[in-house]
Amino acid sequence: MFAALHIPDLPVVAALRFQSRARELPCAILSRRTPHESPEKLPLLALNQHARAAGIHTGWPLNRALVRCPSLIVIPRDPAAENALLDELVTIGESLAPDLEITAADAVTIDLSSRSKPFDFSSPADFLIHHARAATPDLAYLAARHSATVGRVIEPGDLANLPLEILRSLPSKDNPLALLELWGLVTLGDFMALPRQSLAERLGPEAGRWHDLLHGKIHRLLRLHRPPESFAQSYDFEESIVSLDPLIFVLKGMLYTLAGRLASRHLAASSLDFQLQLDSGDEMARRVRLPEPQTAVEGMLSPLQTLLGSLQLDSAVTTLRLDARTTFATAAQREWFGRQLPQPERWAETLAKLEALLGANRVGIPVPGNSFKPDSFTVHPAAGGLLPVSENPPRPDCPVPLHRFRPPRKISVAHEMRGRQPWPLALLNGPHPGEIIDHRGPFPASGGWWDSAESWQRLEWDIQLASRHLLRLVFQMPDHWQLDGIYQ
Amino acid sequence: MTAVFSEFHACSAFSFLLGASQPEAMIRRAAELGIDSIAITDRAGFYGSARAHHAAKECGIRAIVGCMLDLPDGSRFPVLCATRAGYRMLSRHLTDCHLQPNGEHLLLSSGNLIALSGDRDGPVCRALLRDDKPAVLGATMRLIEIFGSQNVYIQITRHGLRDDGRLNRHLVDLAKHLRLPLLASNAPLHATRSDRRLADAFACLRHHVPLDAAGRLLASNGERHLKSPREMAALFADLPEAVANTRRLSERIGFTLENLDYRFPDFPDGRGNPLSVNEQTTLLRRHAYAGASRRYGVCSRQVRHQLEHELALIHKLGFPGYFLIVHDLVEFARGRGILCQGRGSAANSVVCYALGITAVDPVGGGLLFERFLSENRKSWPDIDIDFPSGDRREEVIQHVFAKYGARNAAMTANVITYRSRSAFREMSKVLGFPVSVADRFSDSPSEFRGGDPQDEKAPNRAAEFAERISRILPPSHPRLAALSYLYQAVLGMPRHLGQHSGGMIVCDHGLDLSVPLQPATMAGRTVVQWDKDDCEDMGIVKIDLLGLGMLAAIEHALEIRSRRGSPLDLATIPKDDPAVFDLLCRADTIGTFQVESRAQMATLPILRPRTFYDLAVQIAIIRPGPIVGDLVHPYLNRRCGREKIDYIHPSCRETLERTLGVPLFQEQVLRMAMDVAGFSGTEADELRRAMAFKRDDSRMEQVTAKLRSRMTERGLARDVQEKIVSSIGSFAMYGFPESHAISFALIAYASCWLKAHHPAEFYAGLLNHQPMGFYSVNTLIEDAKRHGIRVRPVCCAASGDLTEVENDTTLRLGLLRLKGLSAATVVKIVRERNRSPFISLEDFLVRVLPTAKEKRLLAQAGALNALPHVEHRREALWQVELPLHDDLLVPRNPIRHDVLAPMDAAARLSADFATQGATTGPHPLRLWRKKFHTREILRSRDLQNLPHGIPAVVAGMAICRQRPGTAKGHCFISLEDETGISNLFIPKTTFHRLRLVITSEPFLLATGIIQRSEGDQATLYVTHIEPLGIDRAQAARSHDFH
Repeated sequence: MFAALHIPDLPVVAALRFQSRARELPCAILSRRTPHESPEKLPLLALNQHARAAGIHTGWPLNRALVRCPSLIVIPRDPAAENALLDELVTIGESLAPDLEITAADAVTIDLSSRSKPFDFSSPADFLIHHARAATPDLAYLAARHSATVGRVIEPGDLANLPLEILRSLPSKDNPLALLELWGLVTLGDFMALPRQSLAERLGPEAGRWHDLLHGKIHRLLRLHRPPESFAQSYDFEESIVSLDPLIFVLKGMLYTLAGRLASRHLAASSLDFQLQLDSGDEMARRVRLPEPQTAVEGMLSPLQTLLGSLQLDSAVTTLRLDARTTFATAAQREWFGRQLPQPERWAETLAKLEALLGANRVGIPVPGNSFKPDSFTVHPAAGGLLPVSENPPRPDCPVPLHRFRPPRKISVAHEMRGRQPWPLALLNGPHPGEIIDHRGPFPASGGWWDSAESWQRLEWDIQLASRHLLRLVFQMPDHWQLDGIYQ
Repeated sequence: MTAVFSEFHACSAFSFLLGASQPEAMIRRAAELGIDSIAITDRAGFYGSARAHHAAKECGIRAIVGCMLDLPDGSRFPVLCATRAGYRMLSRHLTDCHLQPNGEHLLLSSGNLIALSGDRDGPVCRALLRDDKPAVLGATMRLIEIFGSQNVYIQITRHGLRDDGRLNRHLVDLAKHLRLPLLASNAPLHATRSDRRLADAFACLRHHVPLDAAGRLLASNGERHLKSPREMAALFADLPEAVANTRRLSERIGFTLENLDYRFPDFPDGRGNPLSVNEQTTLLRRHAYAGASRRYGVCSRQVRHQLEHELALIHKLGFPGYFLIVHDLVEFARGRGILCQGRGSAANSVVCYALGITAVDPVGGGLLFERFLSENRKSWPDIDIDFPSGDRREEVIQHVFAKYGARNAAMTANVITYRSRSAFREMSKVLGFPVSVADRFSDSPSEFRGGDPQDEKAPNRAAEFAERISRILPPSHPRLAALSYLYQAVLGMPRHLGQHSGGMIVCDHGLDLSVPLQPATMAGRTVVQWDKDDCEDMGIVKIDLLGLGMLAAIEHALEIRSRRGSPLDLATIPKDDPAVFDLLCRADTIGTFQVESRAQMATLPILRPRTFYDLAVQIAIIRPGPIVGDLVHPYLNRRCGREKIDYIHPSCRETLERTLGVPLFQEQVLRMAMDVAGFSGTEADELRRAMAFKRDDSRMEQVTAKLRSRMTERGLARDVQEKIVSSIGSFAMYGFPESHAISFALIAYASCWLKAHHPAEFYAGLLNHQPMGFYSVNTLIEDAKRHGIRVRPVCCAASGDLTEVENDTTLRLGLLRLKGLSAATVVKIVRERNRSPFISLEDFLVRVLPTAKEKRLLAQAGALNALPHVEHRREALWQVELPLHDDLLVPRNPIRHDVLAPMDAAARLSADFATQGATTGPHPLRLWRKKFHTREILRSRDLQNLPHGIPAVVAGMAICRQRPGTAKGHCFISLEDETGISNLFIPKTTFHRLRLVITSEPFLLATGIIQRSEGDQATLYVTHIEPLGIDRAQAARSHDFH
């Protein structure tokens, strides 16, 4: 015997689950929109009971539904809530029997053969679950999808009055439902009444299989659901801790467990997700990227230890959680005579120290940015390997090396206006005051004009002072002068 | 000393997605800056040259012609036309490149063309940027080989980039080494510095990236704008010869488009030799008098006088060849049995009438020849000819291509510009807004409907945009200012080149020497790179060969009539047939030409046309012009005797007598101006052009002032002057020429005559040339049924490809009515059936081999029902699914015939609408009424018997929803049932309250009050409307304008 559990209109139930006021109003979710589709013409994907009570149905275009029910509220989908609801359905299913299949995004089918107790099921308080039982998993699944057959143990003949539309929920390569509707079939009974051989001759073996399935002649095996493997570990401290040593001690234990699990699966950790729950209720989470896939405890502990050492927490730690992202362990050498990073754990430790000092996501390899904005750059993660080599590396603007002042030196400049542009004559202060005896420029540059917060505009000159120094002078709107650097 | 500088490498927005200013804007800016000559060098064409030339003439500067040529390595460089020969050479070269993109095309300049080395995208700089010095030398030597060392300039630019100095040092060295002159240029992509933003946006569109990700694809600064000679002299102070060379080059180039050597072809004699103007005039005179004898029998003195007047003017203006060529085209069409008729102002000419180009007698009708041609008119006459749309018109177009040669004929282009929706969609995409923002903007109501964005006043546009966007983005949005700027800036900018609906250009000495040609999207056609206005400005003459669906339908109806053994000649049908006017008076005009719209049908019973001229008035009266001018009611009131006829002034009496003192036609307005103000033909033409010029009121104001002063001189009373000025002012919005109205009235009359006397042929013609007109096929079929025509369904055993007439009261729908049935399958069905009738469904499937989809389609539509052993549609659907195995033995299991139940009437309706969009079965409302047995809900026919003010409820299928701009927000719906069409009027407030029901429900139940106004037509004034519970699969498509 098999049981099927089904949450009708799961997308809308999930989206409204924690919105008690909206639940009392007619609500709908629209199917996904293509770029050229007007929202008014999109079909309804799911509805709540209030919307159905107003006489509208899934598949109707929104404008038609609004004619029937002007107060219909369109709500967005919430994929996370849908996944959570499905997880709950799985949990409920597992509580009935261990062998279970996720048959659809809103239904599970359970093999009740291992269950010794009588089947007794009631829906949770906050959402409705339809259930039905049958001798085959598919019959149970189809029966659970229609209100006329829910809660019953059904025989094949009991499905005869269900609408043909319900076949749409069966997986199919090319669903022949449109043709069946053209044939004037309305119920499953109409379909079941067709001669099986003639049907299969016309529509192929799949239609024949459906015919057998509805007559209870097919008894397939379930595709059993197995939860994905997790490397997550958690440790609740009986007494919250304030010092590093006990934390490291526990962490080390977790890493040994992790290393063992990794080794048994021939995997290695590429990064570690590390989370501390604090007494104050706050959480602190960090991801530590490992320079090379690691299975050794030392290689993983060292950067974590450095990170923990740099932390300054406001309150005691109550829980420690550790998870790992895995990859396959590197099998080949990258170079002929040695590894690229002779001591990857030290490299990782250094990076962790820098990150502790500078903050998360502020450590890496600077790469010139794809912009004319001066000093624009992006940070490429340092851990994890080499930079891709660009086919057309940007050429330096000027062949003479520029020693940049960081930050640029703000200075005063004696200048005259030529048209609407300032023209520098002498530097009045700063590290290199003096008269400008020669110059190149101005080199105007601007960008980001489309965003008031990002807009920039500047004029640059390469100047030579009487002191023979060559400098880069910059004017920024409205009246700001600075020295960007000195040519070596 | 004043600096002199000419810019030789400017790109306009016609270098699509590269330049960011219109050519006119570039020219005006150049003139402002004191640049005395400028070359617009657009990519691979002279797209913007004609506009630039026109603008340059206005601004008093010189527009040099040139373009950028693309090289296979992706680089491009500007080429300038130094002489007319150079222009012709380059134009032909561009044509070669466009028409044979994969061929290798040599350009042999021989001193007539001048090449510049180009900017950073040029072959020389690109090699320099790679530090590939041999390639630099190679690229320059290649230019010298093609153009000669005297004709190659090394272009240097300074855009404030750090490597400008290095590049230019190398370029100066190169110029010295090869003894080539330097040429300063700023290679502008836009007119002003601020236009750089649009250039950046175009760069993003070109590379398919948003601004945020574009990085170094954008310009690093805004320096690529037009710079004044003083700025350029300062920029190149260290290289004064580079600036001075621009002056020398400018002096050297002698060619502008002023010297374009286009001539309309001379008409050839029988051996193909062109005739002289005198010979052409003689020939034209001969044809005209021969035609006049055919038209009039014996020519009256008045006709002869008018013929002589027109022939003299045509000769004087040098246009006899034009008339002969158009005549030749018309003769070709007639020879092939293709209906054709000239429309527009040509109908004012008795020569055109005599030559058979038009069908309106201008002498009999007292039409004004000056509206067509006058002595001072510099432009060529404009003759538009209507042909049956579709293959027959294409036959004429292809004849022109064949007669004049592929390089001597082309269609005029149509420049597709950024309109509100596309402008917002693309600019918002560039700025990184989600698509939903553009969707919401498109959905928001707009004031402007279909007008040219350039016509609208910029402040109005900005205000409208601000209002629309305020509903979508908060005013504080950091990118709102950029979006607003880019949207305004891109509106009206060219987007790509399309083809004009029918404008053709011909030439007898190489059209591709006058303007580059490129392939059109339709196979077998080419387009020139200029649109119709550019062509007109350049003196290139076009002939409009327009497609008219109704002509095709009439032609088809006549052909069916001939096939059935009673040929008809439209020219011989009586023009005063009472049956036609009765049909018009009872507004039984569904399917006819021009008088079938709801507004026309509402006015017909009021106007009650009884003569042909009444019909012309009827056509002219329902137009935006007369409606805005509030002219409908005065005319109708006077016609019904409710208002006294007033001719404004005794001198206008003769002109306005036939329209009861109300000026309805453009000719009347011109004639009035001539009569009351003593305007000459030339001045009247000036008035016509002022009325037609919508962009600027100043022209109209000037002419009005002149009119007033002339009337004052002639002592006209002030109130009379006001009346005249106000009636002319109403026409400034939309002028409708009388000749055009009469031309259209001829076709309208013919369509009404066919409907009255040969309805079967009439409906067959209409059904075979859909989509056309105001109503769907289903409404036409319903109308046919009401006229006693039986329409039989599509049938594989009886239908041809097209809808055919079986007898005077029966039509058989054609196989092509089935949506999704390929033409090849249709041909096979007819061919196989003609060979021998199908003996079974299997026989049909084996011989025709339709695809799986087609099999289902035919079965679903009931087209297989007539085959032996097929009892109904579902049985056919069941049987066609059985695969054909080509078995030698008969299958062991006989086919069961009772597996599927037959379709009921409702299912058959749904199947008909799904497969054909129409049904020959009962109207859905008939089935609905049968099911619900209700008497409270009235039928359309019942409404006609109810008095004014009675409450009524009516149900039907919405076949047309209209909310025209002139209706102040009210809505009109035509609701069809099994007895006819009910007219619904929905006031603005009710429309807003029930908008969704009205616009989205196919079947409606309307409650309201009967209103009867002039013409005694019943209209339901709707107070409430709700959906009717009929499956929407049983609805025909509605024609909606809301």
